[in-house]
Amino acid sequence: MSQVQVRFRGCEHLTHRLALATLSGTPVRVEGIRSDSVDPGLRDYEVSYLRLLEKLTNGSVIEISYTGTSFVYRPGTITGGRVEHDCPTGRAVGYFLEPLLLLCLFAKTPTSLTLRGVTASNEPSDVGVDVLRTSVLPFLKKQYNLGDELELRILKRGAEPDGGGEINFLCPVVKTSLPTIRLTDPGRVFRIRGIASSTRISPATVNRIVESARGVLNRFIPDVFIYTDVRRGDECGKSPGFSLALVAETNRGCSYAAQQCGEAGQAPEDVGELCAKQLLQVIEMGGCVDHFTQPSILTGMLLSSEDVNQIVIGHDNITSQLVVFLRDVKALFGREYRFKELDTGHIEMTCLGKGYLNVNRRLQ
Amino acid sequence: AQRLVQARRRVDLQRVVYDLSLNPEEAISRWNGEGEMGAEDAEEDNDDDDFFRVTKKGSTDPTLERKRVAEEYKKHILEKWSKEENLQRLQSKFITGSLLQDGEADT
Repeated sequence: MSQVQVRFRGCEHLTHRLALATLSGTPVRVEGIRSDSVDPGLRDYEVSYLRLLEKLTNGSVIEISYTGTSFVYRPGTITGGRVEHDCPTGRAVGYFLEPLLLLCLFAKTPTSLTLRGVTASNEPSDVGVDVLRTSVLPFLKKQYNLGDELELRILKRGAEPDGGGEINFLCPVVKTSLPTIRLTDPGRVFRIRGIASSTRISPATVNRIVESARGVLNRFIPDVFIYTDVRRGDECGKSPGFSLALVAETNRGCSYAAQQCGEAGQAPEDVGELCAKQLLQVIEMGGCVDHFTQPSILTGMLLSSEDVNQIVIGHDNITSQLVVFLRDVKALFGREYRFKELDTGHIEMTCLGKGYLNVNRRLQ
Repeated sequence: AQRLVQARRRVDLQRVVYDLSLNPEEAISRWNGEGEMGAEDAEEDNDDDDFFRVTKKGSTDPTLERKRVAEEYKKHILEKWSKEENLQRLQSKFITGSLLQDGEADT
């Protein structure tokens, strides 16, 4: 229990870092949070994320310094259970939920997490709920043989800036440990699905989004189907808005996703076109996972039973975020990933699983 | 493309990723074979802690900076995928595209 405290600097990539710290049970101290900024210290969404972690665990201790530029986090055991949380509207709910996906699998009891706030935003690191529901979760479900208990329900959609959306995330617990992952062939895209959604806006808007997205994608493949989801009244928050999420599925079960929300003054056609072209970009990058699924899968590889995990990712998927993530993994778990550059320009990442067991469940 | 590949060979990704003396952005650019000027600049910033010096990092708002980068990226994406040659190249990633055309082997 008395483990050495690990120190970090800066507030970037905070969510994954804390999720990893909770999984490894390592106390962390984060310093220098915007200490040379005009407005120093933690932001409201970061504090909110800490509070959410506190709700999902038992016995966690969080001490934030007087100026808010540093804090200590001593993780407790992961309990899961029924949790409700209001997310600040500065970030989309994906910011809070995405790092917790794997965490909830190792909880004491199955999780039912209700989050309220903005459901999708243009912040690149905030996964939209549609991408989570149609790309990330099905992929995790397949890799880890989880049943239908892993589910995300969009009760209300909430657009920026007022939010008001509500989602319910249901997550089972793993009995022992996660299976190993070997993904070496991404396959080729065989269909594209999507969801165009709007809140408090004329239903014709979503059709215009669909039209323009299809205009870009149809030349590649005829199997393009974009669902429309028009929310009004009680089904959504107070702000009007529209968004598109696209998922390309390959014949080997991998998927690539892209998302785009309408900004003030932007035409629906532009949103459709931009999103479709982003999807093309992700497809070109290739690999077996896109950047939305990457952290969850890499964490899963680390925690899986003691065997070699293997995954092929695109060259452009090696970003500074990934580097930070890998360094955090090394600092908290003492594991390194190995890289091999393939002739195709892809990178093969391998790592030995930790054989992480769901200890929280055994205590029950 | 050939030149890029050669440049990349120079640095081992494994070493760069876990070299804590480089910050993540430097590590990536180093690996991509870009110059090392970036690294020197950053060092200059860091070891000076004069009281009245306004650090460069503080003066640029990271959120504004992120927005600018995102805007540029958007433009780049829109332009790139309007070009016919890029679209042609992507065909092989779909099952409808012919594999023989660019000599890629199927598995």
